[in-house]
Amino acid sequence: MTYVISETLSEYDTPICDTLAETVKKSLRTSDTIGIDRCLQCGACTSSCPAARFTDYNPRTIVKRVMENDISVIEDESIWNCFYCYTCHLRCPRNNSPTQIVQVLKQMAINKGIGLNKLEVLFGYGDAFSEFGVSKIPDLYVGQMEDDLGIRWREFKNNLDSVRSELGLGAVAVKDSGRGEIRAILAGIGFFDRQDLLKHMAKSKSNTVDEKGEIIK
Amino acid sequence: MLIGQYYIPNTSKYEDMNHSKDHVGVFICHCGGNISDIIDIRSVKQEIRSDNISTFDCEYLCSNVGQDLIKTSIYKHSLDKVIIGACTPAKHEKLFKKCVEDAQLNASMLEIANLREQCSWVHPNNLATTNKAISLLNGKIKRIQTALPLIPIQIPINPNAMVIGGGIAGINSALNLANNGIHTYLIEKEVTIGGNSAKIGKMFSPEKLAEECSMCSLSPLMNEVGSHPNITLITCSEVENVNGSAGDFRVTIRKKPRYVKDNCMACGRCSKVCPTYVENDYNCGVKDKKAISMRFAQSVPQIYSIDPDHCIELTGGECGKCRDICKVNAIDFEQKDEMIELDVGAIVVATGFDEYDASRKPQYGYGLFENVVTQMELARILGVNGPTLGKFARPSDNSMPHNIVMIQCVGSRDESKSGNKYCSRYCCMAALKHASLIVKKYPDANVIICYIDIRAFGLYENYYRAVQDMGVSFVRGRPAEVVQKANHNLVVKIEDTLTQELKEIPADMVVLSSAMEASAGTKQVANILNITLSEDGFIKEKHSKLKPVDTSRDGIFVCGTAQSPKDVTDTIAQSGLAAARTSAFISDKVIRLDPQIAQIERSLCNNCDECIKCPFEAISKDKLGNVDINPLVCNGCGYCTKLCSKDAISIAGYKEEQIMAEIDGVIEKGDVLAFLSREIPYATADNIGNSVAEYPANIKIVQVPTTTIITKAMIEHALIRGSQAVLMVEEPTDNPVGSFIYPLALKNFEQLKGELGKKGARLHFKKAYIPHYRGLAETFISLAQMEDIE
Repeated sequence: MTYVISETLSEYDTPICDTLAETVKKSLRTSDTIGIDRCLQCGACTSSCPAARFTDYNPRTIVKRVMENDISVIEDESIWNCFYCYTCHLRCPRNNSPTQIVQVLKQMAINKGIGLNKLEVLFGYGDAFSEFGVSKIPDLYVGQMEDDLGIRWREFKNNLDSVRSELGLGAVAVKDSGRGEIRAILAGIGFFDRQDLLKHMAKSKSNTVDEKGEIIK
Repeated sequence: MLIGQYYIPNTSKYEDMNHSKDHVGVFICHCGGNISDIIDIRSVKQEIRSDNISTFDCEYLCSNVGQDLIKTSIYKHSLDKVIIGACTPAKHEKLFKKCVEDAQLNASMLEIANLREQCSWVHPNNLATTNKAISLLNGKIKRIQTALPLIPIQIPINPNAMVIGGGIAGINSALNLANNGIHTYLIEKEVTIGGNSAKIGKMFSPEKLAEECSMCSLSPLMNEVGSHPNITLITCSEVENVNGSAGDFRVTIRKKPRYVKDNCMACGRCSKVCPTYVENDYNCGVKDKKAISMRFAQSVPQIYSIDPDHCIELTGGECGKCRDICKVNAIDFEQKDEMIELDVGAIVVATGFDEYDASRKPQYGYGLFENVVTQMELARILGVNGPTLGKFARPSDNSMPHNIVMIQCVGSRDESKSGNKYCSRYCCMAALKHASLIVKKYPDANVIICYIDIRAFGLYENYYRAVQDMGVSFVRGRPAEVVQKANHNLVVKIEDTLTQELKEIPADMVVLSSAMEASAGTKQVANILNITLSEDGFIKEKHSKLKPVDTSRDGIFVCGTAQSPKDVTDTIAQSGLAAARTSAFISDKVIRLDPQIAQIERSLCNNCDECIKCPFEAISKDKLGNVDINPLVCNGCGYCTKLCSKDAISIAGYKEEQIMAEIDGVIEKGDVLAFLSREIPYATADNIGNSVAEYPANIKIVQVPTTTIITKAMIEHALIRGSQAVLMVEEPTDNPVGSFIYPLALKNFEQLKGELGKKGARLHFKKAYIPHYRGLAETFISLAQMEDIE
């Protein structure tokens, strides 16, 4: 597999640096004050992590591998198990943020065409965003949510609007005019181009993109 | 002449003298060749000798022979003034001053020309070096003709000391001072001394690998304080205000009422009849104390006190049972706050720590789950005089816990907003001590310590090993959270980072090793005393290695956990040092101050108040509305001389005419004049010489207090004398003077540059750092060369 990082995509979120830790620190996705250099491997992140509880994902060892500049960490499938609950971010005593680090790693993986199968199920978020102006749970997960949380969850979801109105809240859906605005913003920041490219990559047999983000046939 | 409390030199008898007739002796040191190999001393002597200038030279002026030469020559030749051409004044100025004083001359009748660090060493291969030596000596000869005698300012030191805080640090400091014969006031805000160390049941011994009764060590010391003839113990009291300065502080104390007079016999009848139970702060909030009580049995002084917030009588009700039963009529509900004023020469701050509020880490459940306690609370639970009378029991059901999990670094080594960055230093050993106590007494108990690093420094490692051998378990990791299950039982969630296992450890009791924080009292007292705190909130020492108990203010010392987190051993060591430093300070009896500070000529002063802008707050108005300079605070930086439009303020020894005279003697055509501030910049220039670096001989250095005293007239004078350029080198901002002066000096430079117009291009400014002597040498070289091209 060729390692090609698209410069247009990576300028801000995965800047090319001498070390992985530098890329993480410079990335727009991480806080300016991220304490990756101060990590002392105490494991507060891992012991707090719901994903670590049920899978082999271990945020502490991910951070360690980043500190050791182990580039193979982006090929580690476990990173896709982090679902951004930010508990590690909250609990870390050194102001480090494994969840932010993983976001950079995932983007680096995507740039290399790794993990697109993990990404595919999430395209529904983007589609919902562009269509309704709000995100929605991908279809694939709906059944699993019901398994995990029971029928009560389905009922809650079906009656969401009346529950919200009882609480004095408006409808969750964005109004037509608002949807247009959100769509314009998304178009303006190149969201659709990027999503189309990723969808194309996911479908395509080729797993690499060139410097400009074009797919190499 | 005595003005107010300070001695001001009497110079009137010198004023009519014609200084140019004074007989000056010039002594040149060979420095064993360091000077004489480069500088032709014979031609120097020939060049400067005249009717009223005698010259001498010596192999080593700093030797006994050299010193004798100076002293006897002063008598033999009736010298009025002395110039020494030798190494930097930083080296032997004090020695030579003593020499001339021994020979009955005033110390300011001495000037030193730096012929080694700033001449022979930096221009070793230059024919101009001898000429430079002559010009440096000429500068000093001209300067000393304008010199007036200065008498060192002496301020008597009050022989009493004050210790604020009656914990183990304050107790030890006060005892050390008192045993040294110094009368000491010990101020304590609680009803008894003892502080946090009175709460700890046991202290560990790293030699005996055992735990010892801490009250058995502390109580005799407390009693000694109570009965020591040199200690005045003032409890229930807080410092409210401090005036004055080192050697002469006036402290105002607010003494709160205890509602029990000193004739209390401590029989305890009052407490027995008192109907009101209150929360016992000594036992971490357990409600086992009466509204009239003694804090603990060994309290000093042995006087009961009433809690005014809960006493029925004092909260407006009717009771008076204690008053009725007291046989010595010690109960006095009429007591009021009392203000006490004390004069002391020095102060020791020993205001201790507060335990970190562990509820700021809600994931550990402190304050939510009854069986989550702190190490300090565990110390009370394990203490024989504690809430359970020594029975090891957990709070929820008073049953004995079998599984105990300790969590280290709660609020320590934590950079989030709810934590402290530092390591609290005591908690690893406290956890080991408590684990050891539990396992020794209850071998069935299972103690697990969750740690990140065990910091058992030095000989403490022996104790750590002993505790490991006892079967206490260690899990490396910072737990995520504590969860409460049925029956108030707990589960600690943690990753064992050594095995990468996620563990859920069941616990009957969880003990949090809470951080040590600077106490509220420490911050309050620091504010009142106007001493600097570190960013962590502790009182900052002057130098972490060399002056560990000196604070930012002279005459005020600090020790114990008010200064940084530490354990009892370190606290005892440091409080002894604080007492020694205080004792040394007080036994000097007088403070001798450098006379080279600001002086005001009141007849010229028009009370414009400009000088009161002094960045060090050394200048104020006295009761009569006159400008008053505090010689204890003034460091002689000279900034005020620039603020004064009437030339009423000057720095003694650095008057404008003295500097002008030196410029007159030193500067020749084509020279570069470098004004160097007297601390770091002057030392940096010396360092160029020490480091065998070189620069051209046409660089002529004149020392100033700081460059803020430099005037347009001085620069113009130098330019008229033929100086090609003028350089001003200032203290760096990380120096105590520079931190205030550097920006003001920069402003002065910019203003001078503007005022000089076209000539301003020849004026340069820079700051210096001692290790970066090459930077200063390069500036010298480039200035000398640049002007060559012109």
